[in-house]
Amino acid sequence: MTPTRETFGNIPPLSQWLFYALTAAACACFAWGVWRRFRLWREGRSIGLRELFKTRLIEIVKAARPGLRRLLVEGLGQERVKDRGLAGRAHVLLFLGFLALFAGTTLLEIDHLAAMASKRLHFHQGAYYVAYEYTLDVAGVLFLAGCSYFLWRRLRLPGSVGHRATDWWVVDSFIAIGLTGYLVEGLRITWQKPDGIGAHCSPVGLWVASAFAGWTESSARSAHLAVWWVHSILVLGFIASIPFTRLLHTIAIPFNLLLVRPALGSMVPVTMEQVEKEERIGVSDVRHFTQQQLLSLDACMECGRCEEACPAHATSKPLSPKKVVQDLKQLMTSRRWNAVHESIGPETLWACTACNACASVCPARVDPVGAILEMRRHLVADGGLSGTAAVALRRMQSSGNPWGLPANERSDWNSAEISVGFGAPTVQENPDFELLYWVGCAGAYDRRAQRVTRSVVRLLKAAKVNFAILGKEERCTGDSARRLGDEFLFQELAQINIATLARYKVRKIVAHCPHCLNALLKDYRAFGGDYEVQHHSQLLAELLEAGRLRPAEGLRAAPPGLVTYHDPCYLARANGIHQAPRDMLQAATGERPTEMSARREKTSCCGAGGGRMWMEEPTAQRVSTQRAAQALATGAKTIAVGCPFCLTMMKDGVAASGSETPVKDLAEILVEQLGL
Amino acid sequence: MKILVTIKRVPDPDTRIRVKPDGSGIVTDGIKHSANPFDAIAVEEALRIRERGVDCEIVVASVGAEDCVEQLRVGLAMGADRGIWIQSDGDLDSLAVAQVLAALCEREKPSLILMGKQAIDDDSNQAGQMLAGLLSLPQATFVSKLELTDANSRARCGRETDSGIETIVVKLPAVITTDLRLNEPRYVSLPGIMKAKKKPVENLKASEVAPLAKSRTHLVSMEAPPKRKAGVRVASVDALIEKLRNEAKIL
Ligand code: SF4
Ligand code: SF4
Repeated sequence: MTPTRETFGNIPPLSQWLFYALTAAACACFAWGVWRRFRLWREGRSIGLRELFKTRLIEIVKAARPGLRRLLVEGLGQERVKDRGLAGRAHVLLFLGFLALFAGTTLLEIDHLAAMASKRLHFHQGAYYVAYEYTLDVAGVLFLAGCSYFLWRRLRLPGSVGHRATDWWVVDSFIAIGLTGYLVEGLRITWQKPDGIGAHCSPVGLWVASAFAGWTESSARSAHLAVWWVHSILVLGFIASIPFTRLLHTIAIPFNLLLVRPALGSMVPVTMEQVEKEERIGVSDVRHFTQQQLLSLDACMECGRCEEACPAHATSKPLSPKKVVQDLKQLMTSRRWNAVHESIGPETLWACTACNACASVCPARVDPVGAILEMRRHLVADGGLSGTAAVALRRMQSSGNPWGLPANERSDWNSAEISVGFGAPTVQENPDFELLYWVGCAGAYDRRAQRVTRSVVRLLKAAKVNFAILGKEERCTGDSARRLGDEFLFQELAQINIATLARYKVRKIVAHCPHCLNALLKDYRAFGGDYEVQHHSQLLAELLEAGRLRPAEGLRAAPPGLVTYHDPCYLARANGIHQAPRDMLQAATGERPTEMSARREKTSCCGAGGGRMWMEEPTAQRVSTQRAAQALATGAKTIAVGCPFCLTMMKDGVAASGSETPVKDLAEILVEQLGL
Repeated sequence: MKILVTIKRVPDPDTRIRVKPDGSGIVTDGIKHSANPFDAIAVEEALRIRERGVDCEIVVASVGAEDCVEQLRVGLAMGADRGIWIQSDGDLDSLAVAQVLAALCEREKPSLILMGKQAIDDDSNQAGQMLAGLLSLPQATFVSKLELTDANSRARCGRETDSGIETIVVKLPAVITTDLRLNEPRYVSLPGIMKAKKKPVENLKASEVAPLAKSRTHLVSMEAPPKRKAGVRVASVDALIEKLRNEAKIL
């Protein structure tokens, strides 16, 4: 006999019709629930989908390609879900099990309808049937294993994960669906007694059936019908509840993956015309976000990864990116559109270091920091900023640097060097330069960072690089201004710098400050500034590799002992540069740096980003104290950094820990090692 | 109630000032101007009084040439309701300014006049005191803590003096001048200034408001302080003590 089983076997016609009626009701409930959310998403600013669909097919495909890729890799492939210990893996099990079971049920229904049309179309039999039963039997185990982990975790209640009353329904109903599914199968096998290969293709079902070994066919049949109904009602209840529970993420995430335009480290520019027209800048109303951003609020399933990664949250500041997302979602759901700043206070918004850790760990591609920075824009325009950060912005306005030192003293660090023959040529002195060295405000004005600048100049000269600096014509790139929320101060500075760079026909730039690098590379592009920008570690690694930098004979200093390297957020995370600094350190010291657990793209912020450099905070709450402690815990004898802000922060952090471990820029270490 | 806040246009505190070679004043070419920081503190305090729930109109006023309207706009962008620009083309000294403001106060009848304790350009620290004198109003200067009491009819002020904080209560209307630690003024960005463009700025003429006001002091010449001589580095603590004792005669 060909192995198969009858669909709706043992289910009387009345039950079947009732089942279809309930299915229709459940689907209607599901559709209504999704429609309600869809109407909320539509309240956001248009993302031009309608316009896109009016263009040619090829344009649509082009626009959808990256999204489809994300859907495949991050949706089906669960790429960003995977790595979070057990929870990530349990989710993969649950997800794959669920997909298989869902696909299986759909196929079953297709077969059922096909067979009703013509017996010849019936395909649920033979080898297909064996493979089908076996796959689904295994899928059920995976699904149950995944669910059980989540039940266990929910009982333990870790703080970072969200907890809602409906969560119990989700987990419990899943487990009940899995268990009743096996019961239905076991009871069927009890009386059906399949033979041959058909008997072995459902190992779990067989095992369950063994428990009912002594049952008569009629009692097995009535129990089967009863359990089948419980199973069906649970499944239909689950479908109906998707839009109303945490399961909403299963609908919202795929669309979000498709529509999101992830861009760590970039921000959307605003024009003066826009501000005049809309009479606002930034976000004070939930509807000021884009439709995709609103959709992404529903994609958040409160996994808490962003909160765990957030340095502000870790140092007890009133900020949790997860809570920001949930608060916004709450406002959207209750249509309290314009209560954004009532719901999310300024202390929360100012606590963010714009380190992008949240956006980069989120498996659903929600972007809490993007939302925070948009809300800051409104806060700044509304007079919501005061204190030291306001002073820094005023100084950037008046003097072109946050220290408020005169623009014509920007090159003073260089004068002292010129007198000893180490000075850097300006673009006027060396008009045929190939590479522009962007010094940055810290490198020009901060006494400690000036030492980094001098080291870089020494190295460039030693390697005979044809370079120049802008000298007094350089201005602050405006990174802090933009991330604090003053878009137009940023644009003013950007335009001045872009004009200066154009005047000297600059194409290639090297910078030792990742904030400058990010601004020149990503922020300036929208304003017509298109440059090839390297971090000094990249250039120095190349020069070492090419043998253009070598220790003078017998001059190589003793190795500095163990070195650990702190990855700057705007270098490692926003721009993916984390190998070059390591290569460079290894070439310089002859040893691999010892590593902290938060490193490379997963680095932890020093606390200076997002304009936090210019805000005061009590020592105990400083992000830098925490990060310095992590660095010191490696036992390193030197802490290497690749950013002048990190330098200041880590130095303070180390001092706050009562340690005297030196904190040095990569270039300084290299200069020492080469004996320059 | 009505609060009048005065704003003076001064060279930005972060620009380095150079004296013209002929000593007739400072080089104004290419330097940025801003609202006197102490005045910004005064505006901020008026806004905070309102934010604490006192129903009030906040009027900002400035005496000077047309460009001082720019600084009035900053006050309006911070949150003041309307501006008054009292046009005067020549430089007025503290007393003349106080006379003009006194005439303005007769007209506006504010219950509280908030001023910066001094302007950072000439550091005279006189206009507030003179205004109070001309109007025969109580005054509290160098205020670093301010609280309205008795149904907003009195102000309890903490004054910064050399020997500590002195707390006095003045009956309103009064002139209060603000010190550095009173508050941290909010930041004003371009969109804020644009929004403030819709707020009214009235233009009056100093010569009409106070025809008798005239400067009694005149700038004769200005010169930069002599450059400080470079310090010397001493080799040891003993050498330092020896120098302090014999050369500086401090010990
Ligand atoms: S925003 Fe993303 S990372 Fe944060 S809780 Fe939501 S889903 Fe998780
Ligand atoms: S960007 Fe960094 S500091 Fe800001 S919310 Fe995200 S993780 Fe927290």
